[in-house]
Amino acid sequence: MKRFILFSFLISVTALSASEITEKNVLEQLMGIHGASWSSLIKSDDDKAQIKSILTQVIEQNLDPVSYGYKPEYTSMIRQNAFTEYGNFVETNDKGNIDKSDKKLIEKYGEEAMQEGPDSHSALAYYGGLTNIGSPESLELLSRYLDETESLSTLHAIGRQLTSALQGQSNEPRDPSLDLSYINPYNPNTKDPFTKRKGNWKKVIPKIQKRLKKARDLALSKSKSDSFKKSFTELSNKMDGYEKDLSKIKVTEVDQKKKEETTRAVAMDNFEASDSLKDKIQDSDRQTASLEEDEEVPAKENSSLLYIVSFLLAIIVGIALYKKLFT
Amino acid sequence: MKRKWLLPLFVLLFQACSKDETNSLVIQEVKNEPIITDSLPLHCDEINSDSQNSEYLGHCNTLTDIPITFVFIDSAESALSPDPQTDAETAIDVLNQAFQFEGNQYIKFSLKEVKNVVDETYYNTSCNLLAEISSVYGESGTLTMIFVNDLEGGCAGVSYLWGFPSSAQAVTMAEYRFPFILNSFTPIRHEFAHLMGLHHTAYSYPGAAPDTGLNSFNKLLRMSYRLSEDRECPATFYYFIDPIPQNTKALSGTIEWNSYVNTMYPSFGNKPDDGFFTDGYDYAMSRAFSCWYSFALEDIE
Repeated sequence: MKRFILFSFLISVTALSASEITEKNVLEQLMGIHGASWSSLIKSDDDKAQIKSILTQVIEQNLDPVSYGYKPEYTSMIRQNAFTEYGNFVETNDKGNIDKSDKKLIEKYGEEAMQEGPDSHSALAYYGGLTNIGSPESLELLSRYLDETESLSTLHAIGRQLTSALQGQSNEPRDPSLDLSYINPYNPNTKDPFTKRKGNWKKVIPKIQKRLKKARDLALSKSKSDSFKKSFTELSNKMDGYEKDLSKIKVTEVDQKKKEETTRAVAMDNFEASDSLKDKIQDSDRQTASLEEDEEVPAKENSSLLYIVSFLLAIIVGIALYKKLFT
Repeated sequence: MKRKWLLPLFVLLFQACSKDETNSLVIQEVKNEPIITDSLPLHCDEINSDSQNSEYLGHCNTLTDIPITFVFIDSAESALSPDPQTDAETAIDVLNQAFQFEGNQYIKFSLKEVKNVVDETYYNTSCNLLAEISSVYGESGTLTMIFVNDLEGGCAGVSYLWGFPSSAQAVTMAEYRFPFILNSFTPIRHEFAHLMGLHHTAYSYPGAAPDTGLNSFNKLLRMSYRLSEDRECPATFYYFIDPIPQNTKALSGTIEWNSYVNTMYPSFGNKPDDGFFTDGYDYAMSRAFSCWYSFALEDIE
């Protein structure tokens, strides 16, 4: 029995200490030559929170990459990458709004980036972060920077990111013959087209569309390159298409409601519903928003359960050992 | 009572050993002196004068020429490089230095052309758009190195695996700031190695590609899908994988391998040698590529 207790203690404590989310690992992801590959690290919601916390430290300069052996000249680049990736860890509420603490950090970094200029690497990283957040609020904010620069290359980069974020980034094909194929994309906020995402898109899409058209007009008048003009016009046309897609949002919501009602009716018909089943069905009604995230990380539940069990086991066995050793 | 204190100590030791196992493998340093055996000729003059080892002849210092076209993409407001010609020549020198070992060199990069263009579409771009960019700047029969201002996210560079030289996809792209502002050619060397067929070394971070250094290099030697069985490179190529047997940690058949010294590490900035393509690997890669290249040329002729 004693051996069993000791063995259990050993296993549970080791399981608890096995998290791969360390400052070192997060910095390595930020310095990945082909970009970060978060999917390889994330096994639970706790992992996401831990990554976000470390990214915040890097952005707020409370974590110095030099202390982890990185050359000082990479520090600003690591911070830029941290902000872009931070966007992937910003969550929105049911209305598609960003949390206050996130907003504060975004504004602070944005101000700093703009001091370096709207075409600087820091600004481009900022645009990338807003793109990755992918909410109506963040994309509307991103579109405002179309009015802040006359650099055609920056205007094109912002336009491309806006359309890409609205279209849904998971739709972009990843060519297996590229060395990038090592990396699993991690774009939780923009993996679906905007029509399937939370928030008041009807309010912001026309604004974004208007600003992009203005940028396109500038590009057409200023550029001498036919291919560039064509490319920018295509971006603007895409945005026009998204404006038309707004009408789909209502249809989608109605369809979804109908589908849920049908599923519920079938479930009730086919089973003699127990109280617990009824509860589950009602719970699923309440938690539709979080359901997608559950599907995104299938290992999450098992992993969390393992952690909880390990934690409880560690406490119980620890107390038993303490009593045995010290009393 | 004293013995009971051993338990917590054991637990702590166990944890320490179980934590970060992969990293402990990666950060070790190899300081052993080389052992040179009879079956392992290391220098070209030694190889070329050895009539017993006819298999080596014709492979040493033939300096297969790899022409590179450099493309510097500017915006109307800002030029990437104050002197693209000098930058291109510097890159050629660095690459030639990287792909040789102890005086042995089997491929030689040469400067074919320097293009300096204004292209607002791709001045700031994304690694995901390499296919699109290749269709604009790629050329068959030359390796194209494109420098841009910014690649979205943390991506420092991108290339096709097995790109060179049979198609216009022999294109690699990187941010200009790495080699010429931050003074790091690591991403460039890394991308060139990908372009010539080399995959990442695994165990460098959790969830990495399931290739060990050994497997990835064997893949290269088998030339993937490009070679049939009757077109294999001579087995003697294997001897050149790691000329310092003491460095090796893995053994497969006659092939010894060290997964740290010979690495294509997918993250950089804090490694003693920057984690890419250390000495020995360049050399082995160079020789293997030389073999593959001759077959590839036959294919396109």
